Amino acid sequence: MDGLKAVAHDIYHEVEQMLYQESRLICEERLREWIDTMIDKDILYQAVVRQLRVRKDKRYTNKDYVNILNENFHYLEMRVRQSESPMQWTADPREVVRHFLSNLEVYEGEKPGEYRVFANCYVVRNRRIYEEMTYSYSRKDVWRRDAQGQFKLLRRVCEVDERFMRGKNLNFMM
Amino acid sequence: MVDVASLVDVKSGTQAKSIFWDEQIYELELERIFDRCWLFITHDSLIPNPGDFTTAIMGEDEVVVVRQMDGKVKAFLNYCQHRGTRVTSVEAGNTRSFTCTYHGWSYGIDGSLQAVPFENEFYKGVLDKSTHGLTEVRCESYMGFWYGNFDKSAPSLYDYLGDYRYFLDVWMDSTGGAELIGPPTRTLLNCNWKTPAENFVGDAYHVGWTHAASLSVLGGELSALSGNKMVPPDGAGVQITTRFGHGLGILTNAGPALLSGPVGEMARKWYAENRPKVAEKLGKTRAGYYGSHFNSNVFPNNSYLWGTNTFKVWAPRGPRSIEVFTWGIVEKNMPDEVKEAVYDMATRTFGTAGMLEGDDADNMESMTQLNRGRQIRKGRLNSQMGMGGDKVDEESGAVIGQSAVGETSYRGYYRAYREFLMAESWDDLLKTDPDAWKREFLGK
Repeated sequence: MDGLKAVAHDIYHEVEQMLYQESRLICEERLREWIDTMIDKDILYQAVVRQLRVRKDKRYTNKDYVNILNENFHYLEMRVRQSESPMQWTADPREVVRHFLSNLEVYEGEKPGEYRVFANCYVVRNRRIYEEMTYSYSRKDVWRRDAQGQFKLLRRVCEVDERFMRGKNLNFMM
Repeated sequence: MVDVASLVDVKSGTQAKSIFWDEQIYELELERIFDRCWLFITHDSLIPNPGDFTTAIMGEDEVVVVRQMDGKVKAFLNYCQHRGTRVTSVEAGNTRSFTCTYHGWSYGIDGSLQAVPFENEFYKGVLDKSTHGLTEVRCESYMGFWYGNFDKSAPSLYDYLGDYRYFLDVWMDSTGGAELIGPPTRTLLNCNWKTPAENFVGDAYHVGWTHAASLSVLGGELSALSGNKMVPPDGAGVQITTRFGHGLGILTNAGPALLSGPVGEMARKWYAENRPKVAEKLGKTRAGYYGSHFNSNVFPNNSYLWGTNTFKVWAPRGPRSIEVFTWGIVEKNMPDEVKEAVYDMATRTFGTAGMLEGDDADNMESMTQLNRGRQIRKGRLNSQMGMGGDKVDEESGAVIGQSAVGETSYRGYYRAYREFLMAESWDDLLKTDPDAWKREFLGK
């Protein structure tokens, strides 16, 4: 489909396990480990929300999206440091970010050793006593194997479904 | 009944906590503040061409703002005159007409009712189309920023902004104007609409503590405040308030507040290049304000930060929750790469995944939600910091507190809030002389 070449079953399985591991690192607040072992130095990590427009309207020329996340490694690592700070009151007491991944598709990427990965994500985030927030979004990832054979995330674009964010903010790793 | 006069004590600088919870007070706010004040609706940069439109929320009313064929701008309530459906359900676009999705009544961009399906067959001449145009809302602009007003007797936007324009012009005018980068993000916050407004109008106090962690990692001029490790020195800033509650705080030379590294340098270079132009146009004092960090709020609910480049509307959704609209704000003549860098940083700090936005949310929500408790709700809030040190600034006409951290603009905001709630009409508000509010505020 879409001119994409599906990967062999063993690679699919490997990617699937790796994505679950990534989610577990995030859920367990092991963000330093996550950025050190799973994030490529050339990362571009984005989340997009779109303004509602009439489908056939081509005359209005202002852009229809906001990059609510548009992070390279430098800024992503900065967010990890923020979460590690003992002065980050919002994360103390701890909050729980639980990813539920589904509709996983894995294809060969543009270059050898690169993989395009599609997933649907549902996140349930619990913080403080009364707050439970949910988020639904798609992920389009590019992962590549480094010299040691470890998968590293090179690109992630999350398309957030909700225009009006009832979950208040996206201050977690998507 | 609510004792409106006691909700704000101007003399002692306190406010009743019930103003963040009570339904009756909220209804009064909608009537006496949101039905009366100038409310931000759009910016020229978002509707550059004839037929371009954006939607907005004024109080709890949905409006559509449209650029006319002659370049002027009109605003209308977003509902069909037939059975009350929205005439557009998108947020922005370019159109030649607004057509209701229910029965197909169609309006021109000037608001006139143009076409009614089977008008002759079904209405047989009964319907007077000339009296069924969209309901027009008064709108005016200042420096390309469009505001709407439901009250025909309100003063012009220019006069409503009044002395506040002296400070607005530092960024909105001096280097060739400002523009917004959209579309806005739209998020929920379970707090009263005044809570973020008061924070943006005058709270430099929380910056070093609430945002300690984000400041410590971000770099930029404000980072030195992280964890309250230092007090801004004397002369590091001012707190300002004006007649109708508009106010701001300035942290001098805290320009690209959260921009570090090469992008910080890029922004600093831009400020340095442009400061002489500001001096030439607006004088020495304001050239000093340019390149500083501004936290500001146009009464009642339109906040913005210069130096952090975020622009917000806190749209009320009942007394206990709001819809937050967030745009980027940049100087029009900035080179594209500077615009992009500061906009990116605005999103990174005060957007939906903003590193500082999330810090504020907890505070704002608990300040509102705890008022569920009857005992807590009986309490009063304190905004006395800097009392006694406020003075009239002869140059601008505003009242200024000579401290980088203080609550002058809080007190001015709530003084005006009380005056709006007490007044029967704009005539009532305007009957006092223009300096009466200063005497009340300063206790003279």
